[in-house]
Amino acid sequence: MNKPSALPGFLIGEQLPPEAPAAAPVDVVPAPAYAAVDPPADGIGKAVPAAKAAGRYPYAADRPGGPGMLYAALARSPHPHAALLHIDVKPALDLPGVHAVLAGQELGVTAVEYRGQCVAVAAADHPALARAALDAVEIHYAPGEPLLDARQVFAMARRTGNDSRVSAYRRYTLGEGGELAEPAEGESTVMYGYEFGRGADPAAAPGAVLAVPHFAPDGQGNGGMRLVGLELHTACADPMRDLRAVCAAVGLPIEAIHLVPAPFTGTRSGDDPDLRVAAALLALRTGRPVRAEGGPADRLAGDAGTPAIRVHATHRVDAEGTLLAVRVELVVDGGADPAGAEPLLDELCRGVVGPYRCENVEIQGWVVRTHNPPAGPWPGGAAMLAAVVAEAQIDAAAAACGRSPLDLRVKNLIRSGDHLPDGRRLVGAVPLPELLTTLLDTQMPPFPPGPDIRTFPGTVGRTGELTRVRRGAGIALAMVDLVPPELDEEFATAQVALTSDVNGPIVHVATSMVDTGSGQHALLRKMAREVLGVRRVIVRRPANPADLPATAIGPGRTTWLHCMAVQRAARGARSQALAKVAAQFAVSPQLLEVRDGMVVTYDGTLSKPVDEVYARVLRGAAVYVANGEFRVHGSGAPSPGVFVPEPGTAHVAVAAYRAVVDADTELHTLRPVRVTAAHDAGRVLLPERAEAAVGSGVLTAVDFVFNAQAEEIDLAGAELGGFGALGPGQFPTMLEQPELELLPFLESSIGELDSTMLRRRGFAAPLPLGYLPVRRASYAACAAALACATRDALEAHPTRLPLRPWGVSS
Amino acid sequence: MSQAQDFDQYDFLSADSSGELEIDPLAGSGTHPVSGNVPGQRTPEQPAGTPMPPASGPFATVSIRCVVNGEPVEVPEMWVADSLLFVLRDRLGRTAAKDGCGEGECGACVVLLDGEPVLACLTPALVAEGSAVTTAEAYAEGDEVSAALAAHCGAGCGYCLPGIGLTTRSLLARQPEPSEAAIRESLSGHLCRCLPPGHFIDAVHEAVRRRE
Repeated sequence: MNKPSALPGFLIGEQLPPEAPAAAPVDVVPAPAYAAVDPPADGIGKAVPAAKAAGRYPYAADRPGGPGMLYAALARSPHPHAALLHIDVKPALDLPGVHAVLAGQELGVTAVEYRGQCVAVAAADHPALARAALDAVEIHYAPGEPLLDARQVFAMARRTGNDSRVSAYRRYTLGEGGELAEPAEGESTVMYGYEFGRGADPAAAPGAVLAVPHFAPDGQGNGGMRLVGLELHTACADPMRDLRAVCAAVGLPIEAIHLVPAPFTGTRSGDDPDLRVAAALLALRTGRPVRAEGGPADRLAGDAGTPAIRVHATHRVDAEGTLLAVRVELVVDGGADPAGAEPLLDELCRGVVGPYRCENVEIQGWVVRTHNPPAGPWPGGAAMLAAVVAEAQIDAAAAACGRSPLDLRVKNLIRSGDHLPDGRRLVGAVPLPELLTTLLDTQMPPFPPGPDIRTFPGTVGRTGELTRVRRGAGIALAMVDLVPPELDEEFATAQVALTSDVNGPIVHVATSMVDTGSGQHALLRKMAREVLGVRRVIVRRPANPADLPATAIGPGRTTWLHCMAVQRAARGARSQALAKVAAQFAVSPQLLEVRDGMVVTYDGTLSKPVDEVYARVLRGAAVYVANGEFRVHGSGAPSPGVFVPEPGTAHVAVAAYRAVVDADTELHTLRPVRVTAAHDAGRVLLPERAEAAVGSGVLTAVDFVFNAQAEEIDLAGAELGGFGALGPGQFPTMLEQPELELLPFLESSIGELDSTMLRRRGFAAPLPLGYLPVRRASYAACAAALACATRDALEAHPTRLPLRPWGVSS
Repeated sequence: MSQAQDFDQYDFLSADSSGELEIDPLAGSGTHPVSGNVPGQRTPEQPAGTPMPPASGPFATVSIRCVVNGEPVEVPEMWVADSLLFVLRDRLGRTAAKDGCGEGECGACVVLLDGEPVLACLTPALVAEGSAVTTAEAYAEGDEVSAALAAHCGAGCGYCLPGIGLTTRSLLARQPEPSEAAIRESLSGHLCRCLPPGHFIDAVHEAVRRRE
């Protein structure tokens, strides 16, 4: 058992199992090594998609555990708040085939802080045995009075003067604050409270972890073995953070655990820290490989009755529709881990006014600790919540002053140079007017729907009278903050080697970026190809398996950071390789570029074919190696290789969406018909990746806006026949998902111009590479547009998301 | 199905056409799990952690025989309530059928049972006794459906693709040129959370074109 079960730490693509067991060709001349690494085509390549379609792509659940592998199961607390009085694991251990049971103290759990907290784990020869073992564990709880409603926490704090459960507070003001004195003549005030429930997780993305312990002879000559390390295969959104968390939980040094990142399943990666800890502990206890999988029963549903986030927003507009003052108070129910919800609070507070100009703003936000499951990290970030609130308030304000919602949006649109609620000035392109114009030029889908009944609200056979179907359309804008001011430091490093083999020039890129299956390495290949003008690029993760990306992969800026690091390294290698040409041209090698197969000087006056140049400089297998590094700080002093936004400035990504929703006002079913998306993507490096990002943002938005928790469907079932807002299921299926009309991306980034030159001319520089997070903007704008369209269709102002059409419309 | 026709050539299956299953008499006797001579039971002399034969514990076990991707296989000592998905993935190593939700909601586990798509997570493995099971691994990469899915849906995570491929094949077998609404309805049993339906509709249309 001292052999690793899979190649640790390499490129996931290289871990693909062979297509067919080797039919070894017997050649006189050995096949050259480069044949195995043909240059992938442009786009995200061919090998990985083909492996996915054939079922050969190695997700964490598919890694073979080897002989003797055990299955783990997790027992979760049915009580939100309880003390653990007595735990007896003996009956479980007596079951044949059960190898280890850990509970309570052994897991570091002394009291239950939220419903669904893991209190016992078991490893057995069969998953059903492991579950049976957990049923046999005797756990006596002493349930306490749970705090499940954030409002209770405030009430208690006021009553007792003890605010220990209020864990964070933020306050931002602009101008005179959100002064809400009696509205003057012609002014109007709209005031609504919005509630956001915890979205149920789609079932399609389970968490899976495989823990493999490695042993070596202990050297005492008696055949004894000692543990030398633990290999952990798992999909994780932030490998370094997760590795540290597991090390702390199991008490091993960080070098002893090799975390092998696996591809994501579903966009949320089915991330469950309990699974990692359970698998690691059980593998160490039993000395055998352990697989832990998270099923739907493990999903932390929380309490559907108490929303996770409450936002109370008041907007004052004058008779012309100009936004005069905004006051927002919001409470984030951080659950049992309020610290994890603070980034959510920050982002929500800064963005809740939306992309609208307002001179008097006051925003206050709190995070409170309750006995609900941890709220953070909220999937997709807080931009979605902010956009939903901002757009709903603009619609309400438009109705209050009797103007069209579009009119109000255009009138109050934020521009480059305006201030955000936290006082930062907006810089860079904010092309919202352009996006709105292209959006309004598109056609609306025909109404009424049909003749195919599958296009009606409520899916097949669930539409009442067609005369009761009403159509709603909503336009929403969203703005996503790129580099928040409190960002500590994020960095990436890369090494690029330019060399040649018998097939010509080839580039090797080594970087810690994990390809989670959505083409991150294809982006890096594209980057190296662009800088060096070489078609064949091979991206590898470093041979040291402990070398993990230092920043979060999921929602973070990692791809951007690594692209920049590769670009800088590739430029370093390029200037080394082109030193002689530069001498001939009498310019510095840094001023040479490779464009359209030519090596050209920066001003384009002198050039030489790149094939000719490389043939000469790469003769004799010469290698040019350079390292690159890129860092981002939220604030501080900029320097080469470190990107820091200018003090007091903010870069944002924007998107404009229109959603069309049909509502059956009799049966209370909805159907999102079409979503039209206009994006500023900064600069599109790989179109299919950007399109997939938009698509996934739209799907997540449809999921969140329309999903009904199972118990709500049951509640509604009494009067409505048991179905959610869209149809009989809990989650939107392909039958109910809207048609996505993606308008051509607007690319506002001006490219690779030097930022000091731009500044001298009065421009704010775009972010390096023109980076803009498309998926988060898509999620935010789409959710807000769907909510606006539904309000329009129902002619009501539902304030709770996920939407429950029943009980709202007249 | 051609695989169903090939089926007769395997002697061991036709010999056992009565469909009777051999239940291990030692297991599941209803006695206290610790007493009795249960396979895989740990005896006091054996310290925890020593390798043991596959244990069935207090569960009744059977063995089944079926044809997976054209290859006759026998699964010994299988728990009677094991799902087809567990047997395929963990006993036979055919990991193309994915374990998504385990409750029949997501469609990631779809396999063809005698040519018909079934949810392997909800199908008892006993149902497959004497049947032909097809997973996505049965199709080489030259297959038009796999190729079309790879070309159009490769940017997603891909967890749903093997199941969607099998459903698509069964759809195209019924309707050689399905309409968009028919494709949506047919694939509505699969939850994909990375790509909007448009990618899949394009992929099915391309598969139709490639078949012609």
